[in-house]
Amino acid sequence: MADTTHFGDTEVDTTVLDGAEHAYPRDRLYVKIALVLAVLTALEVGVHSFPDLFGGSGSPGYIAALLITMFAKFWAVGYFFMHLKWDNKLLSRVFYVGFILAILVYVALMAMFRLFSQGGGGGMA
Amino acid sequence: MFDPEVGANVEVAHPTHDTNTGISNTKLGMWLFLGSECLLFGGLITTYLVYKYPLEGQGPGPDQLFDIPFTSASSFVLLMSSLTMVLAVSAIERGDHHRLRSWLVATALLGSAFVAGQVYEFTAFLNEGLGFTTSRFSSAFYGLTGFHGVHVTVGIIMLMSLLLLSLRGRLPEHRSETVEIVGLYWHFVDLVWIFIFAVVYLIP
Repeated sequence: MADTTHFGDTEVDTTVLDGAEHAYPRDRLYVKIALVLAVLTALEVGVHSFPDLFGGSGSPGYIAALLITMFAKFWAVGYFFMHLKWDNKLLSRVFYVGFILAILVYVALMAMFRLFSQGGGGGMA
Repeated sequence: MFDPEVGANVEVAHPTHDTNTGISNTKLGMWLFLGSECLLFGGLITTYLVYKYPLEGQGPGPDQLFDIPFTSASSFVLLMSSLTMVLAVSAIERGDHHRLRSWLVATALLGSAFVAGQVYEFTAFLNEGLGFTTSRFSSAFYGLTGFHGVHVTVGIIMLMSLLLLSLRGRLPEHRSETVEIVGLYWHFVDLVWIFIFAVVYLIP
């Protein structure tokens, strides 16, 4: 099977490119971000395992701790792994507009279902 | 350009395209698609939150079913697949085809492990008496997590397609954007799971 690629008019054997060890500074950054994500996931499980440290399961402190770690993970994946840090800012706007719109629409919907009121979450039978 | 001293094409990452926005249409299209997917999954997550608790006598609820240690392990596996995916993109951007294939296979295997975990979880829930139509909770839960599982499965198929293209020599550096776009989809699936794990499994 063909194992070549083209750069302009030049045909290059891809086996020449294999194993290229050119320093690529982002790789280390990616591994560091993955470690941070792993720590944040461990924190989430920790919050769930020891809810009393955050005011009890379902308390505002407990929910806030989980939401903060969740959004930190979300931001890290989007900003670094999806290259929003380095890419054209238009892409960030396109994505975040969709994301924020989704949150606003569905928070409004949940409010309509009285999900945030005392004893809420009843929804419709 | 290909640099023979470096042995790689080092300027393929995020090139400026000859479009009004300076972004390739394919990449912009993928980001628009992902923005719309936010609304889709937002709808499914909201439906789950509204119908989270089954009515009386309609079978078990989330408190009796969820196995948090197991789901945490699954979440960790999917998170790490995002690392292997971004390393695959990085590998093709510097012309390292051998590592590209290795990272693609690793990502597909981690994704498969996640889907296998989901199948195991669904089977365990079925054995507990929770079918798709058992309660409003079960329909919302299976609908949300099942839809996410289908997204992961589609991602695995795309990864295997990239691997085949690479093996046939049809994925040179100047087409690295193809890998990046599949990577965007894969990371998005991971983002959705970050939400599902916290909102569905951890927040009571």
